Amino acid sequence: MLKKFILMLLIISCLFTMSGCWDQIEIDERTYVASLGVDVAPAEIRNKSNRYEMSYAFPNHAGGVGVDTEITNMFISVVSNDMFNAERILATRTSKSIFLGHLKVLIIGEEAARDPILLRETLDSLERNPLISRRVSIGVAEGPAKAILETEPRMEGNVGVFLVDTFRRRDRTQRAPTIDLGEALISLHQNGTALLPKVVAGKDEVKLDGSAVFRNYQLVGWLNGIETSDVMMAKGDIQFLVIEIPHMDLMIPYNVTDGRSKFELVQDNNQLTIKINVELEGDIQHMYLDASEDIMDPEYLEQLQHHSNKLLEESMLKTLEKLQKEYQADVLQFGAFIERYHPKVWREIKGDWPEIYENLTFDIQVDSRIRRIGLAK
Amino acid sequence: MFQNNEKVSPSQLASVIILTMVGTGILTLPRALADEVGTDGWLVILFSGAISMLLLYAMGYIVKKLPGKNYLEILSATLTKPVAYVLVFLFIIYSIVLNSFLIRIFGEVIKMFLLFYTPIEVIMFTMLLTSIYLVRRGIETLGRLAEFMLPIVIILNVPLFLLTLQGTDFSNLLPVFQTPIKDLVMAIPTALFSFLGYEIMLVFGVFMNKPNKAPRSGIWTIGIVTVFYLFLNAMVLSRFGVQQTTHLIWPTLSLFKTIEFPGLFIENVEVVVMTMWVFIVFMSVAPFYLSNVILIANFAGVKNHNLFALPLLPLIYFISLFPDSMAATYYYLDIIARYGATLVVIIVPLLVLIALLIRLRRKEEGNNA
Repeated sequence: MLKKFILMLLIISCLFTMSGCWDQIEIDERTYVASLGVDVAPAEIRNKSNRYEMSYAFPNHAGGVGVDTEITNMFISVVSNDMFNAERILATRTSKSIFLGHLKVLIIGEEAARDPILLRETLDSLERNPLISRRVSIGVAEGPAKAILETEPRMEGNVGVFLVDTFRRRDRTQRAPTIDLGEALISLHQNGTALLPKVVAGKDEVKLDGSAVFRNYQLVGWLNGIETSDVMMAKGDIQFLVIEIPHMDLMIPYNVTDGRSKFELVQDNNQLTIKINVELEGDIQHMYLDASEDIMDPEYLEQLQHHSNKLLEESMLKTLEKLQKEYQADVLQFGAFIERYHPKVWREIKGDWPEIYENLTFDIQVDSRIRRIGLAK
Repeated sequence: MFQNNEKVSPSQLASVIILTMVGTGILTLPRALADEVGTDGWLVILFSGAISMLLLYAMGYIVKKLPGKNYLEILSATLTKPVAYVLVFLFIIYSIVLNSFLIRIFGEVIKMFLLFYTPIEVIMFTMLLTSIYLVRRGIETLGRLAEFMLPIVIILNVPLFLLTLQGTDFSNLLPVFQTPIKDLVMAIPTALFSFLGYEIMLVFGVFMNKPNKAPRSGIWTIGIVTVFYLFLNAMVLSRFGVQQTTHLIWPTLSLFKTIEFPGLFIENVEVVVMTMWVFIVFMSVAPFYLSNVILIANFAGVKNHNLFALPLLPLIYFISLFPDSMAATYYYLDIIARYGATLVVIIVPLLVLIALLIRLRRKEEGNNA
């Protein structure tokens, strides 16, 4: 009996003594950083060991159990030499431990994006960090990232939450690319280029419009909203997009709901041509009341489709040539396309791909289909 | 109280071997292959699978022809006694070192993903203690546990892989057949060592209750693992592409980290992944440990192998702490795999097989005369 009692005692004492507590941390002792901004340190204090200015935005739960908790938005920025150090410095300025495991949004400031070393360091530390998800949304700010995180959007007090929702929502237009950290890293690993959404700060709002073009791991320029949607169409990555079709003196909104694209390589003597076939599907949003044109007439719709095709082909060609000639950035990964589907051709041109890319010609065919026209005839 | 008759069925042994094999290769295989042959890794996996299948079939054949003999007796019967002692000694060293590095990698992964401040020593030590608990119960318990865990691992795996499907781009698997044959051949050892673990067949063969079925269950075993590796490789490549895959240390874990399931009560499914990973490593460490203990007992001529379970712990523990860093761990592991495994997994079984065939031939001739 006594033996059994001692055994029980031993087991119970094991329960208390053997459980590891090194990593124990209570949930209310932690702060969950929702968005992170990366900037170059302000010029007057910038030196070798103060290169970055990291901005952290996180909701802060004040108050205790049973009392009404008040959620305020905290914003702290830290100047430091690297991301990890910044986190440690931040810890000296907060009462709770900083946790990046629930990071949702990463904003890179314009100046930091133009510096290839800073950008590569930042992205590498994010890729290396086992806590940070590869699904973090990523954006590039026009100006400093700090300005974005400091705004308090009217619709949603917390800028982090606001940005996440804006980035992830499916019904937004394709005027900024939908891309997350993982995809951006894949694209950068592939050939050093990427197309990331551009974030613009207003007085009390933040918006996504256009995109930042990266080549050789640095920001080389911007595309505006329309140009970005052209690229997204060429990529076949379309969920929602409204195109204004000019017809006679009307502007008819054509709401694209789905899109696919297909690349084809055409070799003619020494000239490589990429044929891009884009198929779009969507519906007409409005004409005008008691319209004289018969929108139920398939022929009329075909005319509209034709106009839309011409319009898009022209504007896409212009945008692709801008990427090609002005930025020399193979954002659409034509190189990877040739490598995959025409490995023999790729082996010959691999060495001087940048030059060959610059001299590529494009042949764009858009096929837009108007499927529905709404309730009115 | 828990006396067992120390027998395993062919399917139990197959489960043990499958889990042991998967534990050594699952984490790094896609990266190693992407590094060496890009998108043609699947060819290499197929080749290596075929080679492993032949080897395991040969081992099964040896077990079938010499039923009821342990590894030492098999070697003594075919390659004379002194050679047998030397080879068993080498096998013990090889599998102790392999086991130590498995434990080390386990510790590193857990520290990296789950317990950031817990000393790695504690993580490894608790894992070893748990293994010892299983090892002291003997082969039958191990067989039953493996048979019970394999379905769990598979059932957990299927939805996980399905969840990774979103965002995959299967054009990443192209181009195929573009790697020179020389590179493909050079990459075979890499893949072959992801299949390591089936060498325990010769050690555990003596406990099989139906040694006749050993060769055939071997084919099944390698078949399942090959299919799993092909699948894994395809998923990782189609999610990340070659370039990104070569930049990830543990692409398999990174693959599961990309899963996000908005609306689900857990957004990150890492809990499930980590649970499965602990299962797999445990079922990789424990069989190696048991085979060590059994071999040492045979070597020392002692019947009760339980005696050696605990004293082996400090040795494994210290060897696993020997590499300075994770990079060094993988460096040493590669050396062990390349030289140790070639001897233990390829050369010795083939020698035994040849000796056995010669002996059988002679016997036949004797009978005929």
